[in-house]
Amino acid sequence: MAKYWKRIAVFFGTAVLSASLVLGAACGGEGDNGGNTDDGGNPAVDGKTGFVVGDPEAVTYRTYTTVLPSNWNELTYEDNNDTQILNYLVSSFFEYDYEFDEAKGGKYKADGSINADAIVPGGFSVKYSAATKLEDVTSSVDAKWGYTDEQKAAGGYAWKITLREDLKWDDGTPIDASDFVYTMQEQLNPKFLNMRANTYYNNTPIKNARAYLYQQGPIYNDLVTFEGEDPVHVDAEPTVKEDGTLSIQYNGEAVDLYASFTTGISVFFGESMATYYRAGYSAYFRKPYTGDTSDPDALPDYVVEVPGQEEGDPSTYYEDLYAKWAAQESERGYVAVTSELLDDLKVIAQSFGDPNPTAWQELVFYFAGLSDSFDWDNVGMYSPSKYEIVVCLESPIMCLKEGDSLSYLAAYNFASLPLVKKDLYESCKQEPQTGSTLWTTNYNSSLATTASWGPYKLTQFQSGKSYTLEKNTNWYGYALDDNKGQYNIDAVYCEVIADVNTQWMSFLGGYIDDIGLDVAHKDDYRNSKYTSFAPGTGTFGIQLFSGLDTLKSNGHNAGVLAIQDFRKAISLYLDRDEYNQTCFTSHRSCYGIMGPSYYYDVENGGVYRDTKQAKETLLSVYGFSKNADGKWTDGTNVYTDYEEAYEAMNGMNRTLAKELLEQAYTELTSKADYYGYDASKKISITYGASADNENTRRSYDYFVRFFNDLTSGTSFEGKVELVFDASAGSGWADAFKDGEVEFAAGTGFSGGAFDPEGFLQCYVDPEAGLMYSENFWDTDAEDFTFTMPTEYGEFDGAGQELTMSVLNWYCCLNGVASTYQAGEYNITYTYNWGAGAIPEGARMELLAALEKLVLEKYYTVITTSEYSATLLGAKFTQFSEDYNIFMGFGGFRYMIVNYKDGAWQDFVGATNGGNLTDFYKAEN
Amino acid sequence: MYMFKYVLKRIGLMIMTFAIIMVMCFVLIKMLPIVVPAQVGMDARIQYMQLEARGYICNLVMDEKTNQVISFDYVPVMKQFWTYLVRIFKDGDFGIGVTLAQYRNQPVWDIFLEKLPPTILINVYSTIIGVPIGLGLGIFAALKKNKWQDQIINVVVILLISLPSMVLGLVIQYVFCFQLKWFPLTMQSGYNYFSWEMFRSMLPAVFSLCLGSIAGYTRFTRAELSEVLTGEYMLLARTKGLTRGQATIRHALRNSMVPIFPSILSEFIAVLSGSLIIEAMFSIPGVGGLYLDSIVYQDYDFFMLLSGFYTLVGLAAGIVVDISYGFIDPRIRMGAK
Repeated sequence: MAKYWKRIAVFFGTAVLSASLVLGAACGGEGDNGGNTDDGGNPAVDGKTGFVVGDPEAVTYRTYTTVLPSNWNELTYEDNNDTQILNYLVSSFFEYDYEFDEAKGGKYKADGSINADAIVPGGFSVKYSAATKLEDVTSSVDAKWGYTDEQKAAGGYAWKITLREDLKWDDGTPIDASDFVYTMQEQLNPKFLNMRANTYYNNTPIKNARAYLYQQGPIYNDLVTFEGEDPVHVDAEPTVKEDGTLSIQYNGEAVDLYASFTTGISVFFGESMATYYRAGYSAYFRKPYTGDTSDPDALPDYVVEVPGQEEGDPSTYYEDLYAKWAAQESERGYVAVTSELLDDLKVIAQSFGDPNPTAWQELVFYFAGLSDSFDWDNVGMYSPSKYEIVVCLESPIMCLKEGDSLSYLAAYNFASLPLVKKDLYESCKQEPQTGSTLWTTNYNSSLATTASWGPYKLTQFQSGKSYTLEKNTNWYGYALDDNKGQYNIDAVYCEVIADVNTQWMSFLGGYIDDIGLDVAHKDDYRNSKYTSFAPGTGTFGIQLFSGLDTLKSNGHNAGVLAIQDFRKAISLYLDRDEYNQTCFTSHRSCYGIMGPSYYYDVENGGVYRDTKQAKETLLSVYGFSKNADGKWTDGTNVYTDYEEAYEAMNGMNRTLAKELLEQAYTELTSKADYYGYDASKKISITYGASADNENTRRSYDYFVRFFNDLTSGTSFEGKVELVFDASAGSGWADAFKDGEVEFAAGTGFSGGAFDPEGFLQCYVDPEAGLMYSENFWDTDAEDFTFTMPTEYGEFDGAGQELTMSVLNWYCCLNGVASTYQAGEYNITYTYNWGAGAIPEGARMELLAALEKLVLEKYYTVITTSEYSATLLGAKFTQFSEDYNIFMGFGGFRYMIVNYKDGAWQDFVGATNGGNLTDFYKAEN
Repeated sequence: MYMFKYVLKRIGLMIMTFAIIMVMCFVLIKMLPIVVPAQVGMDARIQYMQLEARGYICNLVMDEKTNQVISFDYVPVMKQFWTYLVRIFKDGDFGIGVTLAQYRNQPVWDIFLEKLPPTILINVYSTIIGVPIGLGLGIFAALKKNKWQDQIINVVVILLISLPSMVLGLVIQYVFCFQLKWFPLTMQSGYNYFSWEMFRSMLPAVFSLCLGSIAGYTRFTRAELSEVLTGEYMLLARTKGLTRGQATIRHALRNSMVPIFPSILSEFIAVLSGSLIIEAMFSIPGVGGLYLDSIVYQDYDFFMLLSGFYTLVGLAAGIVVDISYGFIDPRIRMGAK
């Protein structure tokens, strides 16, 4: 019996021990951490209170993130999340600063403190930081870069940057120009296919950067060469190989022949056959029928005109050669030429009007091996001396203003060039895994692989948990006069806190120093004096899938969405203010595809949304019209000018919305077959979401009520239902584009604040891959007519009424339209109306016209402009209460410290027992 | 000998089952279309060429003029699977994170090993605290069946079972961490898992997990023990002269453990997968959510490693549980005819 009692004693002893352990832990004293890190290299945190312990005189900024970055490598980072560490580790050649009014005392007061009263509202300046000089050397660089005399005269293509000589890594290793050149070579290393390589052939286009990245690709050369405009054909007949493909004797050796319908060829001026096929030349890719024509009824009904054939000739029949062969392309888009393909190529060549029996040779290639290694010396970046970098660009960037002061573009495009620490980077390279050819790197992905040349350095990192940044004492910037009195934060500690409730308890307990305001807390803290609102570039709305073929076949009975009146009714009935207040924390109503953060003239603060053209566009979209006397009216009220009308605009006209709904119903029911409408079923519009959570459900519930209200009293009443579907998860955008869901709210785009014309790509350029409507709006096929204005000055095309495809208008506006010549092939003439090419007012007119075109499609109903709301804890204060496009509220650099770590802990402890809930609710 | 053969047979079946499941997992995840998120300012060509270089797709056809993808083919799934097996068995390489934002270019094996200890520790602590308390309360309730002590325990048990761990976690966090400040709101950073401060920072999560377990064990033990206590052999034991305590401990408790002990083992193994909500709530850098994320973001190497690990653990647990019956109850002999 005794032994059993022993077992029981052990059993319960364990329980008691566990309980004591718990109790002891709960009631234990404070930790005995003496320093500011524990022996694992982590910030020492008071186990009881959660506060950082250590030097009470230090200043630690504690924040949180929901997803920790993994890759703060400048060469490979993928999203903004990765930049939360990266931004502290790098420096800028040129950086933005406030503009301080010298008449009000300039930047510093007599006591050395920063003179916030002297800030010029909305102003900014650009100053040298890691660089000491910037020179335009376009006219003096080597001739091999190929700049024309005109380009040399214009300047802006080649820049020489002189570096400070005291640049160092955080371990004291000096930095010079060769490090930047090495890094750019690694950035463009074709073995790595680094994610950010395109920055240097798209955004800041360095000469030959793209060619270097894509070197060692397969080379397929045209079989024919040209002497002037005359093709030189090969004097040989192709021979059939054992596998049925053809080869031909070329320069003394047999070369294999290939054809491609997707790769550019000389005879088409570098364009591919696919381009011609899609551009309305499909008839040239069809073959006369040679079979039995005795039975006209058996002939296909798509007889079309082909050169040399009479239109509607029943004795001919056309096989679509393009579709036939393009489908067989493989291995990078080529197909080996066979006898059958050769016959078809001869037909295509003849269709283009060349009777020469060897004209087919102009349509084929021969494989010439892989491209050579591209010599780095031909990439437009080099260092002429130890502290000088020269960057040669494909297109100009005007980094200097008159008087050789720095323009905003200097800091925008040349804020910095990527920089990695050579020895560390080399040690972080990882060879391809089995089955892969891709090299990877783990540089800047952990504490051991991180180097900094910025104001802070990484001192602790725990994957999925936290990181700590501390001041980099080797940073040159702390000694700069311009930085005096700034960078007062000694360390940044960031912890992953994914749960919203935990985030709020951490903030209200004083453990973290900022928090984003969410919908659940906005009523309590929206008016807090600790809350600040910052505009963003995000513009969001409702996407409405309108592709009729898909709507008819997806089983949702939602063909009504293909009716423009129905979509317009949704737009006109929506109370955007109510919607944004219900579903978002701080976002505001928006009516155009670009919100208030898009600048067409950065230097002078020119905001697109504030222009007359932009305002009048929205007025016309939302039912206002201009009277003969110049006044504006919405049909009920008259406004003295467009400004007054714009102020009154709210995007709603509910009476008209109901009328449009009835018109849509008539259209739907009168052409039920056309729209695939089944009156016995409900119209089931699927609300697509990325996740099934509180936020998406809130929005969904709002639109359920919205549709009930919209259809109430109309013929649609009780016939429309909104169905929630989050099954696509992160693939929701593709699900929408494919028509699996028809309704996507709170979706849109952000970025490109200084390029409103380029931002149009999101809505009209399918090649950008961003258009939600790409599968049902062919902007390349839809024509748009517009007369370019004359009142802003003379330019190519001014005063002409032109009809071009929507896509072509966009390309012209951005100066990226191809420069084909009109003439023999009758391709639409295009213009360069890019920035600087024509008067800005004319560009604004065209931009506004295209915006109106997009809005009046109602494929997207714009609802929301991005504003973020953040509470900053009382430990710190923002430097400025006014938001500045470049400086924000002053950021880390200017942040004012109210309490050091020790004082803050005392303050929190003395405030309502450490609960700052009421404290932070205080209003101004 | 019977047992040895039985174990060998089970292991053989386990390996076969494991192989089938892994093939299914690989094929199914690869059947999902690859998502290449186009973002403003990024070149989709690079993304597709990366996929090609990684051996996921082939025959990539780009329109040179527009830089758009015209078409590509998927590398045959079984060919990819073969490459995957070669990589593991030849190179011992489980791959790197590709699409999971927190672990890009990180070796999935290293990440998994780094994140497993917090999850295991939380659950070990939860088990160490929960099992004895749960069993103790269950035994006590069974012995006091239908008395006021039993009624109180039943009420508490029902309350705790009814509340999901996330609610318990929120209450614990708000009361003990935020208001009373007995514990930090989140788990401490660092790798010193056996330090006092680290242990204390884990306790709110441990409580959140183990309160439900305590209720479960209590209810289960009470039910099993109550039934055993009414058995005829218990009457026999008493009639042959054993005291109530002797009869309970020698006969009733051991017999009631036959279904209880395997449930403890299987629950412990089940929670190795971590609690997504509890880990998020207390900022525990564990594996909770990793598996789900690997599916959502289609991170193949993470998905396969985690699938393999949990499949293996689950299958092994089945064998261990079955064998454990024999140790608890000598009458049970696996594999004996």
